Amino acid sequence: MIRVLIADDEDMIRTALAALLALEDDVEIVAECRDGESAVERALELRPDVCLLDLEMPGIDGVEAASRIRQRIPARCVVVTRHARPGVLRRALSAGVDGFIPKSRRAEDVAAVIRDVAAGRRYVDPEIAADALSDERSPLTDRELDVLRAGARGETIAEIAASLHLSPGTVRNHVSSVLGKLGLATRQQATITARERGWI
Amino acid sequence: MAVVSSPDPTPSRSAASLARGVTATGWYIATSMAFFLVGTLFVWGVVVLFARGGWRAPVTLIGFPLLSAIVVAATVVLLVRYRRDGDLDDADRPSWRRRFLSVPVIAGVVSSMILGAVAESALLGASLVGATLCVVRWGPGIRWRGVVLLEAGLVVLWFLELARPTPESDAFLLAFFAIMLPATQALSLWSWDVVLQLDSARRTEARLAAVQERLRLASDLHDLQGHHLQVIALQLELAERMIARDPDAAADQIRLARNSVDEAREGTRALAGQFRGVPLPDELANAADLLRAAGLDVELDVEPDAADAPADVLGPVVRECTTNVLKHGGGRWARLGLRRADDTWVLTVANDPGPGSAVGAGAGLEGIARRIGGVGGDVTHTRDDERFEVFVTVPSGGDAR
Repeated sequence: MIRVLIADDEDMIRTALAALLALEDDVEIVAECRDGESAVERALELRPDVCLLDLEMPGIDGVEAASRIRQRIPARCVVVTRHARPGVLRRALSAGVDGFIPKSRRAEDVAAVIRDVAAGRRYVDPEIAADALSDERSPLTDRELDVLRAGARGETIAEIAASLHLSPGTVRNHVSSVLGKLGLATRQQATITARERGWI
Repeated sequence: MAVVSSPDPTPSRSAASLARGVTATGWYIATSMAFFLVGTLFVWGVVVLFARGGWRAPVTLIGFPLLSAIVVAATVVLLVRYRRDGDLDDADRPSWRRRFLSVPVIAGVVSSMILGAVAESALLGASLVGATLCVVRWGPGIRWRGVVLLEAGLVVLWFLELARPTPESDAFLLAFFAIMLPATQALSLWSWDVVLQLDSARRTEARLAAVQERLRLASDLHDLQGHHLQVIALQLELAERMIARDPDAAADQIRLARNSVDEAREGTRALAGQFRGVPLPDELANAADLLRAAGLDVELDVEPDAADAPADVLGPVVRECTTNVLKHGGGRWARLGLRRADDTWVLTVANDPGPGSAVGAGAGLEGIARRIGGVGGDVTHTRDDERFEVFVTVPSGGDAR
């Protein structure tokens, strides 16, 4: 028996998926959770073989939950998503997630992935991999990304300069070059764009 | 069903050439400003040092060129800052105090004053101070008012200097340059600002086009989903009616409804997919990033002109191979290469084989081989305990594209 924990904040999807997976002979659903924090808590308590985590959950998301679970117990983690934003697969792989599948997969396919992952293999859905590979590359340098990251919460130029140990003039040079490359008018727009595309 | 036109690639090309044009105009304006300043200082220098015999006094001989160089350097630095701050929004620009109490402003103003004293001309000093301050970023409408006042003052100074007993022959030429300098600098900066504003309007237009494209996509998506939802609703209704009388037929309808759901999903993906598609080198770099994120040691070896390789043929292969490496690989290392050999492109993907991957590794390869065979290419692979490697060869001729 493969003991599975399911976490998804959408009740209809979670209960339907749990019911369908429970029909499989070798899968046992040990817990159903509605958010990332409780998934981590229950996982540490029940030590399931596989955690099936929704990516988009209130509080901590599926990838973050997976990385916290993996730090403490050897459970295998599969992240399920409706729409993989650019950069998520990269983040998930470096967090040690073993499987990544879109929500649109049928329950029998999900069960197959659970078996695969429980057997120690890694599963990355071809659709998600194709999306990740056709991501637009960031035209920005590492330093420019640092500047956007350091200013992501509305910090002023002086604060960014202080946190990166640069002069305000250099920070302004980077910002100006970022805006030129992205064709945008403000640093705020640049930060939003970079975050949407998973560059920062 | 909605007919979907693919996005037009031409706007981006003309946008790139427009952007280059804006940059070139910026350089032209900045260079002409610096050139006019240097020209003014040169004319004054010739007159002060030679016609008026200033070269005999060491202070003038050394002071005039040195101070001129400082003024020019300060102006160049200020021009660079002016351009940079033009991109930034108000909150990101330096504060007023920082703008004026900065090294280039102070050095430029002080040197201009001393230069006026060395040349024994308040007119030159005032003109240079004005020209330097011009290049600092002022609030809206302040610069031209200041320049008008300054010009009036310069004309007064000129009349005062005319009253002095100086050699008459060169006085008009010098005054002409000194009086014209601040006005030209201000006018140049004004035209530069106009160009930048037009450029930002152009960028806004480009963004607007992208937003319109998205709206169009949203409406296509709405049509597509609406159609499929209606079909699914009918199929489910039919199944509900039949389930008591003929369970098998009802099950068939439910299966059909599930197929409709798959169709809707695929249609949606195809619609979104039109806006995707990146050059092959980017795709390979993304693949390397992903594999690195998965903890592999990745070596990427891509020909510089790899963007010319047939992306629509090799792209799916890169995707398939990358997922294979992730799924079946041993997880230690991978090597991606794209090389041109004579008139063929060779894509190689090598990695350490994972435990028990003998079946899996070759699984997706038949599909790849079919695709590649269709364009006259070839797929081979080798495998031993240490290394699994796929070689994909496609002709680099135009028909592959």
